[in-house]
Amino acid sequence: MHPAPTRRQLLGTAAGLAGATIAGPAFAQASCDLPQPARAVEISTISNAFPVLQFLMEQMRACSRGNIRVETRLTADNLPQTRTALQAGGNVPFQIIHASNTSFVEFVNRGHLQPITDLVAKHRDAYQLNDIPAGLWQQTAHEGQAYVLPFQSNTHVLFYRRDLLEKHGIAVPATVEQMIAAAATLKAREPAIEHPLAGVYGRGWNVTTEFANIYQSLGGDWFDARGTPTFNDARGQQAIELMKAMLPYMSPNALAFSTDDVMVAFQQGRSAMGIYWASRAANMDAPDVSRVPGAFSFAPAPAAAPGGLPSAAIWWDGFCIPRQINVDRELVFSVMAEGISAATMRRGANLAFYSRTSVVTDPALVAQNRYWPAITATIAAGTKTFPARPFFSLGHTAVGASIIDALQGRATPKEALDRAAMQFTREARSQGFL
Amino acid sequence: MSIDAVRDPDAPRRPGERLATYAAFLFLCLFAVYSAFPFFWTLLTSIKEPVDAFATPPVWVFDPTLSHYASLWLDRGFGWYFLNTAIVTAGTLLISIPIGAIAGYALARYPGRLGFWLLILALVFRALPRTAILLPFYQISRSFGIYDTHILLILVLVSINQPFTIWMMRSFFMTIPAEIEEAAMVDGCSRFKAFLKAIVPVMWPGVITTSLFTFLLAYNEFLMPLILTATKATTLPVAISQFGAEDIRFWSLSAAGAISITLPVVALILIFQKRIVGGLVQGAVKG
Amino acid sequence: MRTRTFLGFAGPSILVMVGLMAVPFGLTIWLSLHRLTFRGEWLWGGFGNYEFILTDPDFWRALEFTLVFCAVTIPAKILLGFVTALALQRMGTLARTLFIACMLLPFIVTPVVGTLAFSWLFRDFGVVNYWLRDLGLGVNWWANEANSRTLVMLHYVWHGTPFATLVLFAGLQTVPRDEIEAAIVDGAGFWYRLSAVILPYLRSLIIFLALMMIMDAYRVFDSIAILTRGLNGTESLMYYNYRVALVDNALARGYAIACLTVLGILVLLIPFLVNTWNEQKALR
Repeated sequence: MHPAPTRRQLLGTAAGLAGATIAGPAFAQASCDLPQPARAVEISTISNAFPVLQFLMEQMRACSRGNIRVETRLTADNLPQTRTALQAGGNVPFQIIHASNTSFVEFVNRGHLQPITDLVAKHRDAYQLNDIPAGLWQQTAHEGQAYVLPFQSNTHVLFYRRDLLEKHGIAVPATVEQMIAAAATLKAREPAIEHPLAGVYGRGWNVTTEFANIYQSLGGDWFDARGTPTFNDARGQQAIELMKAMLPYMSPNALAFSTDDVMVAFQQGRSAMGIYWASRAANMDAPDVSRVPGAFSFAPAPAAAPGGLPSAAIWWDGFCIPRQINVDRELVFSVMAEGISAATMRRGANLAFYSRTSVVTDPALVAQNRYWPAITATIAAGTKTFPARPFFSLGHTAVGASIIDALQGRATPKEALDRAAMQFTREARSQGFL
Repeated sequence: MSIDAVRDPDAPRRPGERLATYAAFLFLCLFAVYSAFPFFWTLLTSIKEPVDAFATPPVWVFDPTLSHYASLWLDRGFGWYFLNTAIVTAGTLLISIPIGAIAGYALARYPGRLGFWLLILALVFRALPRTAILLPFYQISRSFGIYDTHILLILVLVSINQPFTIWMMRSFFMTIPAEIEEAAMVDGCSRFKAFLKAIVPVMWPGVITTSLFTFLLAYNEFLMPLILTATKATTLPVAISQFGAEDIRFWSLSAAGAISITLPVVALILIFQKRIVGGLVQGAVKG
Repeated sequence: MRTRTFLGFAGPSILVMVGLMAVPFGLTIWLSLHRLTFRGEWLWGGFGNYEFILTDPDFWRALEFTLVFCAVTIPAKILLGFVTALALQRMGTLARTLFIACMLLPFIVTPVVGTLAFSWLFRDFGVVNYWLRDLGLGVNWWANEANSRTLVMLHYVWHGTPFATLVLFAGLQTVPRDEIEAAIVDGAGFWYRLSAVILPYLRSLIIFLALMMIMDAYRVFDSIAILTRGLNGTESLMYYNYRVALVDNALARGYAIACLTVLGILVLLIPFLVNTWNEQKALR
């Protein structure tokens, strides 16, 4: 029909080859040349606003040419907005949505997304989709169907000030208790560092995710087979106790800290260590944002108990298509695939731990991105994703509503978690899950 | 009574008068600092590199940069959001003020019980939290296919704004004596014609004041456009909130955005400042 | 004026208000009695949502905070606005223009960014925080309830006082000069002039202000959403509503909270409704 597929095949191969042989960014401009539809088409996207998404969305916007127009919305608030759009029924105003592993489970179980298995099979070669490892395809599948084009994996890793640890002869902590001990040492001996630890403990989703990381490292399962909550067991309580033990070494305002606040604390030299999103390491070191460029090193997150898995979970992010849209799905898929092309990923190599094996195993790029080995090690250690139960996000928010009381000492961990379990059960019943 | 007649030079000098004036001046200076300082600091933040903007101790000597403004206006199409906001704000003003004015006039003149109930209804509507109407609005707009359009935002903002508008306009019209249009009606004009001929020429102070509040409401509204637009009709406050994730360079962008959004409004206020206060004097005061 | 004319004049406004607010609100009330399953079906839920909320400690905390918030910020704004208006009275035209321009800034700045800018001053890296610590008055604004609530209220007063100042200043212009002069000639002191002459004149204006302020303070959202996100007992009813409905994604419960919130404000408004009844009666 069009000469384009063949051209794209060549382009894809050429990009792959070029990427493999050239170290560093080789392409200066985003470019995207899709077959033109007969009539004007508008494709809208909604996603979070991380730097890697800013970058990928720019590539998608570059597909606006002739009859095709791509509009993007990026916002840190994308989850509630995406939900609202999907739940309202009818044609969804956004044709490409960004989902992470937890929101994906929620959306696909509610029937909001459409399978793209056929499109993946059809364009496998054109877009080199085999470059994405089979394991990731499995994780992003649901009932045997593909729904997502994943673009990155993310996890929490340990950020630490190599210079300060060396100066005081502290070994890189392998457990949370060791990390607390290291923080105590730093607080005593390094007066400039007022709050040695920093963590994203802001009320709501953020602090609950920190809880979930530690709980998972302790081996906790959130629910039993029937969906009864088990997060209020002894391990859940122990997770809260560990978090409470860390709080004295953090800013007294820690329970209001967003991801940005932790970033600033690190970059301004006020904090020295923390379990933090690996993807943030990408922009840590530029001199226009950091007073201590290059001072941080990265390791897998310390385990909650000796010999345990790192206090982290595996996240992936990807793009998917809502079930009901009024735009040609093949075109939408093409735009999505352009966004995750190998060429794009290589251009923005420092922004994320991408899904393409060719990119993340390229030695030149690995050398440039000092945080990638920590992620690879975390994955290799067997770290898991959060339970893929459709009501997981309900449990997550239920814990979130109560955990602050426990952290501030207004309730015991047991009381707070029991209350969360009760509220979860009520809401899950109301929504028809249990 | 003109607000410019400040000090009567013939007024007897009272003891402590000077002291009181100085105290007032000092107080106003402190209050002005309290009011304006965050804005001033945001201005500084918008021309600093992030490493300087968020440093303690605060950095007063730095290399200024306009890169954030450039990035905002050139790379991120801020002008586009500006246009959307201008359209929505203008549309809201053009519809809300006329229908609010005639309703306010009617309320000021009509003695029946219906007037009271309408005022109560308006009060109740004004008290409604956004969340009570936001999500149904979303559903309705999707069903009618007007989601993510300027007209939807205009309609929503007009309706949200009506209660305040009719209350305020009512207050203004209550200070205009009924005799003015009575005279015209005696001459044989219908009520509406009398309104146009006699009232419209003198209602401008009230209209300007009410327009200011309507303008601010439409310009600054956040929650409604957040949920009711996707990519086409997005207004400035929503656009601004779309920055700021994962990289504090975005905070600097937000600062530049904040200044960019506020400067036009500041300019407008300074131009119309006297009229605004004058309008307030004439109207809501007596209500 | 005849009723028909009245309806003709007020018609468009009534249509817009009822059509665009009554209908969605009616839908809200209707849906609050249902529950939303994850498959997207609305099933009858009776008062289940209301039961959940009325037994949720977070709701009561939100109600308590909202009432405390109103009780503190409204008198603060009126008092501060009045003092500022009095002070402005004494200034020359140029000084007035400058001061008013400065003071209007918090009011006209888009709340979303105004709040963000305000919060930057108080965060760990914030300049105001830094100066306070230099003076030995260091405060951790997000460490406990008293501090966080103070921060939110400080911001709200910062944002809302200009409105009070403007209105009261305009009001002061209309107090007849001769009455004040007469009082002065009679030997009346400042406080007497204030309480016996000025305040009675401004009574209905202050009531108008208080009315507007109650409706706004009750629905406070922006100050909280960006400054504290509801931490430390700073969830207002509206923020609680937003959090439950859109963040926790419990939509049906969210509608029920909206209905309860409206009920609450109607109760608060009763004194003003009585006042308006009397005013309209006076028109006849």
